[in-house]
Amino acid sequence: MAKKPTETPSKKPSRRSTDNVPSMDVRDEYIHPLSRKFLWLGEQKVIDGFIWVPIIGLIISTMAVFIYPFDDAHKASWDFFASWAIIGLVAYSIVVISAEPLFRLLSRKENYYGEEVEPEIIVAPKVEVHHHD
Amino acid sequence: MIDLILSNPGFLVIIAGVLCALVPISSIRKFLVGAAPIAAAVIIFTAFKDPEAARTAISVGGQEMILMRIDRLAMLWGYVFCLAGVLNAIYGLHEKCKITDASALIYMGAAISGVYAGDFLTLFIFWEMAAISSVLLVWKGGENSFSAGVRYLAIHVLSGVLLLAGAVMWGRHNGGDFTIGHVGLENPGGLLLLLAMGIKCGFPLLHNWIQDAYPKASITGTVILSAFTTKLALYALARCFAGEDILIYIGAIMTCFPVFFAVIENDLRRVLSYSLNNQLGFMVCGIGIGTDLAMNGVAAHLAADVIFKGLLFMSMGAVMYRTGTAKASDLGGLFRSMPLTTVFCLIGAGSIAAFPFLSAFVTKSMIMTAALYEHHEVVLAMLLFASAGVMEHSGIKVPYFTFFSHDSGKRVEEAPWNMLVAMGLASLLCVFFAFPWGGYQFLYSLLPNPEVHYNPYTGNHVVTQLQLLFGAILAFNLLKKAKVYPDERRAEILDFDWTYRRLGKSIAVWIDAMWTRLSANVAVIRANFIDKAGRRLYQMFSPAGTFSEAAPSGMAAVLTGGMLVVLFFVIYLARL
Repeated sequence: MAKKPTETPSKKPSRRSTDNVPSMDVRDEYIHPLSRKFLWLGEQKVIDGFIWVPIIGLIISTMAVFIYPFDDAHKASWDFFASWAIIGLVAYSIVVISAEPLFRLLSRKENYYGEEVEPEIIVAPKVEVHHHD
Repeated sequence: MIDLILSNPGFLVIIAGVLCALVPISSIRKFLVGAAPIAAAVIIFTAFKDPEAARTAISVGGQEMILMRIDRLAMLWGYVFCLAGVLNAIYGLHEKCKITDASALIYMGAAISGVYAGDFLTLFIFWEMAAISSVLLVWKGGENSFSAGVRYLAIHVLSGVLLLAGAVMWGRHNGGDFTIGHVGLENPGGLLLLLAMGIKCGFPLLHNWIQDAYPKASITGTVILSAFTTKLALYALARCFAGEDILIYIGAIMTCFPVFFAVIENDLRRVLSYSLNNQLGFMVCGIGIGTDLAMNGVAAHLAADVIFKGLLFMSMGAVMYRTGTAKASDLGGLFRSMPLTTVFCLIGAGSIAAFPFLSAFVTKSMIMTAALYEHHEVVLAMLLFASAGVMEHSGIKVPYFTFFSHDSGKRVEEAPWNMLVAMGLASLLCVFFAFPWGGYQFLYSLLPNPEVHYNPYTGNHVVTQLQLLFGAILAFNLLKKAKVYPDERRAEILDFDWTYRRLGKSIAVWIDAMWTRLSANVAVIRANFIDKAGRRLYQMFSPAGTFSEAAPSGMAAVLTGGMLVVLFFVIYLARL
């Protein structure tokens, strides 16, 4: 079993607070060498531009149905050249849009069942752990 | 004796587990944990060469118990369990815990033994053994896990009792034959058996033990738990209820409803537990369809699911090991610290989402194709909806909120080497199972109906699957940009377990309070009654009581005379 952390923050910082988070320069010392080559993944420009990946992918895969059409044995009565794309888009949207009303309906405080709120921290990371709650 | 031990591959694993409980040296225990599943796989391989010779039965109290029966279905299940056992052994190498090692092996051994059991009574023994040994893995999770473990145990013992009751009814109906075979739902025993298996399989409304216990187990425990219990139940379902139409609809519902809970859940190990439920739904649906292609799909998807679901639980376990939490609201940006874990998690996520060249692409599609062949178009639409849902919770949510999203500021070390090796091997298997040049063909060669031909890499299948996935990814991007995608928030999400954790508990507390009040009132009434009766008796019979008062002797003579008259009258009547 791993050890418990030896240090616990004396004061609980507010959620998403940056009080307890070292400055970027300090934190960057702990970035994994392998990850340094992929830090661009976190850039806002890349995040904003990522939408083009599914758009282009959708256009290509939808056009490709004309090259690889449905055969009769594998075609449902509602299938057409973009049916699976629409199912993916609509089904995903339904699931996500339903999240807010469902959350309002079903969410309770974390200790609703009388259990301890914070999970026990059963390991000590060798570098650092920042608690945001 | 040796022959008996070697007759069922699970027995050896159980004995290794018992040894683990006695051995204080960690390295020997770790050797046993890794070697036992390999030895079990060798026994399976040997037994399958001659299934008739491998059949072993003993007589207990005049009842034949079939300890070993092997066919293609059991063979594949056994290999998958052994493979999961080896991966779990590597993943848990860092954990020096005697209880975890012992219970993991006994649990795995019970699951393997259950798969090779040829009759319901033998299955019952291992069904319960799996429940009792696995609860220790839940209890190793910490303080909150104790009550979850008790609930887990209660539900699984109930499942075992139902299995036994159903087996007895079925056996009586069947002329005393308890052999496991197709049961069907015509007999009440069959209904009880279905209910017992449904509990362990996570049928809708019976599913909550999964989301309750798995996220609260220890890091290693959750990975181990995800591989065996539900899969043993699936095996039993496949044996007893293949082709039962009701399972098609139960399975389809099982695929859809967890999606809605997973999207609002903050604990990522609980999200994966819902995802587990969802994948079980695909397999239950396939069992319900019951055609050769569908059963192949079930078996293949089982193999893929054990690996990719194990991989996802492993990656979340590694994150939890390093950061101390698996709550999405507390994570984010971990690709900066844990790049290899990120890659492995993405492979697991891609596999479960059924990206081409990853495992579920070649397995899940068999079940969906079988649904189409049998003209279950509504069911197919539900499975497609669920597939988009899988993309949401396991394909995007788990990796995105853990490794990308906002930077939580957590800078931790990469996962320990043994976890990386286990995750790396699982990732390789995810790729290998879908590899177009020899990979999926190898998996298909192990399926129960190898004569059934299915080619997953048709142009149309690849293209339509990509449409579905890109459609879902585009929706994610659009909803994110529109700020409709919900933030991760800490909360307890109510599910059907509310009925027994809150409502049932409240009713029990109310009954207890009422009983206490009633008891108090009854005690007062009883005390008053006894008090009054005592006083009356005292007033009559005490030395100062009524009966002790001096009375004229004439009265006694009158009473005695009256009694004699009555006596004479009775004797007279008796003589007539």
